Formats: sequence, C-alpha cells, structure tokens
Amino acid sequence: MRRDGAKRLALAVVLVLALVGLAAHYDATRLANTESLTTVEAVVGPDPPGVGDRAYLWLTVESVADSRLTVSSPAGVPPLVVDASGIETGTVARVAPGDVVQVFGVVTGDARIEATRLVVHDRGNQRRMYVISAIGGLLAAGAFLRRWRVDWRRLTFTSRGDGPVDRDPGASDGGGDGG
Amino acid sequence: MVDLLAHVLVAYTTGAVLAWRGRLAPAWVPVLMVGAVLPDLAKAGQVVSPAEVAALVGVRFQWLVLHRLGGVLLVAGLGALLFESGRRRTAWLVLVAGAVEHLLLDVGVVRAGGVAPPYLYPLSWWQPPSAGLYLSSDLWPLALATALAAGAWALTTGRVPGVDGRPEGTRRTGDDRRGDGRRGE
Repeated sequence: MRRDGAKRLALAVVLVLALVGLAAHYDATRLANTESLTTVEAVVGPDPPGVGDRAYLWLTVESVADSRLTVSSPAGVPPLVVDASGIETGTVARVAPGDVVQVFGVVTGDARIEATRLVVHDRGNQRRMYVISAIGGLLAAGAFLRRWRVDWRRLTFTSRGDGPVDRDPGASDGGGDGG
Repeated sequence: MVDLLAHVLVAYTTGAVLAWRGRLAPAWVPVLMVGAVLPDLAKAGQVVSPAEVAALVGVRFQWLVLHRLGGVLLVAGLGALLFESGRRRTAWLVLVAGAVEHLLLDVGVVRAGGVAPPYLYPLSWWQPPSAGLYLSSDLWPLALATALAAGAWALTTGRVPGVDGRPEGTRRTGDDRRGDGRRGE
C-alpha cells in the first residue's frame, strides 16, 4: 500500500509539472499560432500589437458613450476602448455597463479596437449563468459521492458497492437465493 | 461555453443510456459527469489571475490550457490517481470522455470571431469553425439538456411503460434468477 502511495505521489508530481509546462508553452506560443489576439494584455500590454492586427476578446463593459465602449482591463494596463461605430446601432444600444461583450475587430492604435462584430451578453444573464453553473458543479459532486466514498486509509475513492462495478452482474448477491 | 449544468446533464444522459445498454457500469456515470466539469476548472483564472500563478511557479502560465485537450488529459490523470489501482485506467478514460463531450458542446457557442478556440492543443492549433448555435448565457440549451436528462432518467429507472429500466446485463440476471425458462432466447 505504501508503495502504491509513493507511486501515486510521483505520478501526481509528474502530471502537475507537465501541466505547468503545458500552460507555460501555451501562453508563450499561442499568439504566434492563433489568428487573433485573445487577451486584453496582448492588446494593451508592454508589447503592443501593430495597427491592423486582429483581436477577438471577451470584455466587461465599464462605460458606454456614443458608440465607444470602455472596458475593464487588468490592473496596471491602460483602459481599452472599443469603437463600435461600425456595428448596427440596435446592437450597441443594448450594451450597458457590466455587460460582457465579445468583440472581434482590428487594432487601430494604442489601446483602441475598431469592432467589426459584437456579441452582447446581458449582465443579468451572466449572473444567472454563474448560479446555474454552480448548481451543475454541485450536482456532479453529489452524484459522484452517492456512488463513491472516500477510503481515508488508502486515500482513494471506492465504489459504494451498489452497482456492477464491484461484482459480476450475473452473480448472486449472497442473499440466499443461490440454492 | 454552455453553462456547466447543461454540460453535466448531457454527460448524465450519455452515461445513463450507455449504462442502460450495458456498455458502462452505472457507478461510472457520475464519473462521466465529473469529467464534464474538468474543462471549466479554467474558470479558476477569474479568481487567481495567470500573473499571480506565474509569480508563484516562476514561469508563464495560462489557465485556458485546462480547457484544451492536453490540459484535460493531464487533469484527468490527476483525478484518476484518486481511484483504486485497478480502476485508474477506466477512471481516466471516463473522465476524459466527459471532458471531451464538454469541448464538443462548446464548439456550438456563438463567437464573434467565427472560430472556436484551439481545443486540440497541443496536438494542433487548428481552430474549428464555431457552429454559432447558442450564447453561453442562453437558457434553451439548458432546457433541452434537462429534457434529455429527464428522459434518460425515466428510461433507465423503469418509468417508461413497457421498457425494462435495468441495465442489459442485469436484465438477463433477473430472468435467470426467476428461472422462467427464457434463458437463451
């Protein structure tokens, strides 16, 4: 049992290191391999893109003035402004502070993007989605713990034994009906 | 992505039907549901920023890798290590299956850019065209997933008249136990 524990620990360390390495590689190489800039930092960070570069961003709107959306940016970087004058006015009129918007467009200068496509996610719908998603997580956890229990001695999940994962479905359940 | 509840319900539907057909032991159905949650661990980035993790581990970091095939395979591996030694391979496969189902459903999300993220990373940077079927905040995919899950639940718990809700292997066992002479039919 101790040997299995050491093997699991070693495998876990290898997997975590691989995950960190993969996350680092993804972050370092995705700009060169994807069609658009996909983070605010990539647009307004210390290494700004050139004018005309395409960007596809999910942004939270801070304020709306005319057809200009100012969106929240991470601390330490200048606010990003989205020029939505090329977007249908009805779509822009639906945008309110706090909404999440998907913006596809081109970089037109320092911390500015001209949107060519805009998808609006109403703030109320976003909040509802987070609540519903939390329920989804709880449902999965509850269903799992109904079928599996923690074996604290071995630090593993063990089937509660009320399904065929623990026995041949065709075998007797030992209730005295085998004779 | 669709909300997480819809992902979990679709995974339940798939698992319940597979278990009913005798292709998956019922105990693995909730593991499939947990697998459907794994890609959304990338949402941890809304709580702990990639920059904070990078400062901690000393290298660049991007949470979104958890929402890609490579991240899913590794996280499922970590999850599988929590199972008994004889079941880790099955646990890994079932967790990966649930997570892949999640990624497939996410291809249907409306995206202003017209393409989905490179889900196959690190195998490929290919970005599949977005099917543009639903917004992540739309309610109708959840309604559909709920209806499918309710149907699967009714089917697999004997609540549909004329349909035996027990898994296929168990159905044969019941006939054998009754000794009603139908064995081999």
